[in-house]
Amino acid sequence: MTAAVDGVVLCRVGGARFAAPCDEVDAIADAEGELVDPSVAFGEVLAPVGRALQAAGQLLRVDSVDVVASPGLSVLPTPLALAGLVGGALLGFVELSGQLWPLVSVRGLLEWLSTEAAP
Amino acid sequence: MADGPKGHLVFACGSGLYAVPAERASEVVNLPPLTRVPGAGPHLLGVFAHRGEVLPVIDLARLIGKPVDETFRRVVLVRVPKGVMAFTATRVVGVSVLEGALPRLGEQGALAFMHGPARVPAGECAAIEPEGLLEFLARGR
Repeated sequence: MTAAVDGVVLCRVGGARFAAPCDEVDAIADAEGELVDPSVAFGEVLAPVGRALQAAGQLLRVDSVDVVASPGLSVLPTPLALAGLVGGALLGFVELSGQLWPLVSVRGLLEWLSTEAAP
Repeated sequence: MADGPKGHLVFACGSGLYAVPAERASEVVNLPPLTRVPGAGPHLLGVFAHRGEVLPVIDLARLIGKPVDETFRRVVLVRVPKGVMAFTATRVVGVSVLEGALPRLGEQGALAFMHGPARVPAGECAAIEPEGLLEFLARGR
């Protein structure tokens, strides 16, 4: 059975990209206030101006966002070799306009970032 | 590693030669543009879609800390029951028979899943134990 996701938020962090399931994102906000910086996960530097995904009571900073509201987007499974990355927050991949996007659980990524940032 | 002659596909990655059991090497394909993956180490160059499947591209030289050669244009697809890996290859040498009991190249890390050195006509190579290496990578290393 093929997994599916109902809508994604496409996010860019420097030259990297990921998709977040819409049902995990409470809001898309201005990048103001206390922000969680995901650049360590992507090996990229954030642009000076950007946006934020609100999820699990936190704000995840990204450079830009685009919402793809299509229901039932097919999710390609995560290869086993990648299963342990970002604390298991990698949910699979979606293919949009010929490009693969890592589908990342925002909650899982925030949790992984909190442990990565811990002393 | 079990004794007895076995056919292995030998390929170069950087300055090193590597071998995978021929029955596990499913294809050699040209490398398309890659999608980077969050949290990936430097050995995991990215992924690409191939025949409806997402394949992780692994650079063995980077994985074991050997000098890197960026001129690779192809990948060797290695399929085991639990999944598939794509190893970067600067050159595909051919199929050779590896004989004898080959010791592990290390006790820890990825080297624990490589055996050798094994002599092949092109030189000395490291024989990869793909099942073990995949399990090792799955632990997020």
